[in-house]
Amino acid sequence: MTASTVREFLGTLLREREPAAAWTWLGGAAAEIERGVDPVRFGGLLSLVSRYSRRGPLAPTAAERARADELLRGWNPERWTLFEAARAWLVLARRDLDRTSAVDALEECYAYADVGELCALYKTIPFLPGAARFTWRIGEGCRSSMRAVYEAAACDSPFAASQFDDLAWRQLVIKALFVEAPLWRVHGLDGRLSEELARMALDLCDERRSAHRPVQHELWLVLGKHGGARALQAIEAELVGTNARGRRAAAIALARAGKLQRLSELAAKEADPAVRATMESALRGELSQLAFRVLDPSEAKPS
Amino acid sequence: MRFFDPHIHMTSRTTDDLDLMSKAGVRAIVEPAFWLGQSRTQLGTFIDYFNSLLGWERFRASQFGIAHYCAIGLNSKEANNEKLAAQVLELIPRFALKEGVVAIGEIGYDEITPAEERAYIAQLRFAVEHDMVVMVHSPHRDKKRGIRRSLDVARDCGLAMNKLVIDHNNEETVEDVLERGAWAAFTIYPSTKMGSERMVELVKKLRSRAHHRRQLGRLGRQRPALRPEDREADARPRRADGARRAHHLEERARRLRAVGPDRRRRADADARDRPVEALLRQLRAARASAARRRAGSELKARRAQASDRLRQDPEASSSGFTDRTAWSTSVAHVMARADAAGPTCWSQP
Ligand SMILES: [Zn+2]
Repeated sequence: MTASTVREFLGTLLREREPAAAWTWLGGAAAEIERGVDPVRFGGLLSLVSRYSRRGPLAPTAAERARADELLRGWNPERWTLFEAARAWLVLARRDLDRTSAVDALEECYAYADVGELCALYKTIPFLPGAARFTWRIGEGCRSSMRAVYEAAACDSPFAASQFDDLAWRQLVIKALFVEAPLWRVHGLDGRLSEELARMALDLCDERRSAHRPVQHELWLVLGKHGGARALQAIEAELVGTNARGRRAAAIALARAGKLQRLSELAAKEADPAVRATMESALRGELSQLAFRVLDPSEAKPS
Repeated sequence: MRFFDPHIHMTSRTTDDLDLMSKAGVRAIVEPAFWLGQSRTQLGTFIDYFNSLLGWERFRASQFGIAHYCAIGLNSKEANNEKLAAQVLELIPRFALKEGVVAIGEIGYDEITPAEERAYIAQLRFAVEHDMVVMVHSPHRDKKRGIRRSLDVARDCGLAMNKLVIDHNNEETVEDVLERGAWAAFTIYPSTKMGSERMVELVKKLRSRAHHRRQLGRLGRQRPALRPEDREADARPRRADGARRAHHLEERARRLRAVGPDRRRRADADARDRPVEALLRQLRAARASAARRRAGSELKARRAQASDRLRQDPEASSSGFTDRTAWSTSVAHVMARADAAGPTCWSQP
């Protein structure tokens, strides 16, 4: 993957989707950026995308999503907007992406960005050369309590899993539970679960129960095979509860912990058809982080 | 009832207020940049303030199903700190062209000093250059003269009067504003500005004239949400008949069109994606649908859906004037100009 191949790919998607007038404007803006612009103008052009580009989802086809994953394993533009694609395409038009001048210009953009621009900027970073230069910046995005911003930095990209140190990574995971962002969309989550993460999740679970508040269903995604007897106890407690989404998530967690025998016992006497269906699919082996997609309340029907 | 509050400072509002607003039917708001009760001493605090209007406040409102827009500008009070003001004016182009910004404001006069005038003129020029609406805060002391001067200076800078909103009017100032063809706005703020009863009397008197009014969001002491006397006052303007409402529809669309900084080029772009066209289309669809189904159950379901979607998707609110405003308008937002046939009263069935 290079920035220019991603840019070429985004350009193709945009050309097919933007009205002629918008595409012409984008071309002009990109040419200006290629020639070199001062930071104020650079930020201004990114802002102006909202005046010229078509508004709406990028809506990539299955083939286009596959191509995206090929370009950068773990990149999923499924939930990108046209504004984001246009802004990423403009950022990637810079000729100095491998130099510090680009980092400085981007930092200046972040300082003056609105929510839409923040999301676009965070989504663009994984394509830039020298990922380590941007680890702190993506970490800032993952500290945001604006869910859209958090998602732009943390989800649908391989950046965090491949770049974050353990502390930053664990904070990202637990933060998702707090802002109710979809953890199942954090690429590479299953590969970086740990005893320490499970401990943090179980402490949070205890906190929620002490406060008589429901446990976030994705908390059960964080355990994996970790947490030992304490984890199993917490899962069993959820399974006898009344929260259907939580029970379905706990059922998957039980399978992820390797307790398939126990899960099939429970499935045999489960009364709620939705919970039973989830138990059965977990028993059939659907227990990666993607199995949590059907439990995501913000998700439309899977395409 | 659905409300659009065209002037509110959410910075001084808690989440409880947002909750009450949402329950009362407020669906869209405009938050103009202003003074925060004590003057800032650093440029950075302005940057963070403008950022909060475009970021955090927008997100916060979206959590309650309220679409948040803002106006960006250097207020008159802080224009008097000239060294800082010069730096803040340089920030305006960095924020004013962003997606959620619908106007330059609140700008204008406080003590009517030369420094205030310089900042006012600089921002008027920016608005003219970018074809933007200007929201003017009128001074509390020497109001009548301040408003006349605001109008004169705006005209001299080349601002079209239909792009000018003068706020905080009262019985003494409204005629000046309407005569020039600008928008007259009223702030309902019983102890210091307009009271509800006075407003009702004025509405009666100006029946065919222009004004908009608001209830919420001042920095000072006030009750948290819609007050009974406001509700009573809101009920006074008569529901417009069909022909008049069609006119109002166009008038509102015209006004929204005026919001964009580059409407000629926008008109060239794909019409289906233009917020104004979408608004018009959805208003018409909503009305036709309501007429078809007297029970209005379909409309209800759509509203509930839209409001659910908003709650679930904070990003949905960063998409400009879209379908939400189609049902967010109500008689509470009354705004027109002297040459309009009547007050733009909205009341969705
Ligand atoms: Zn104000």
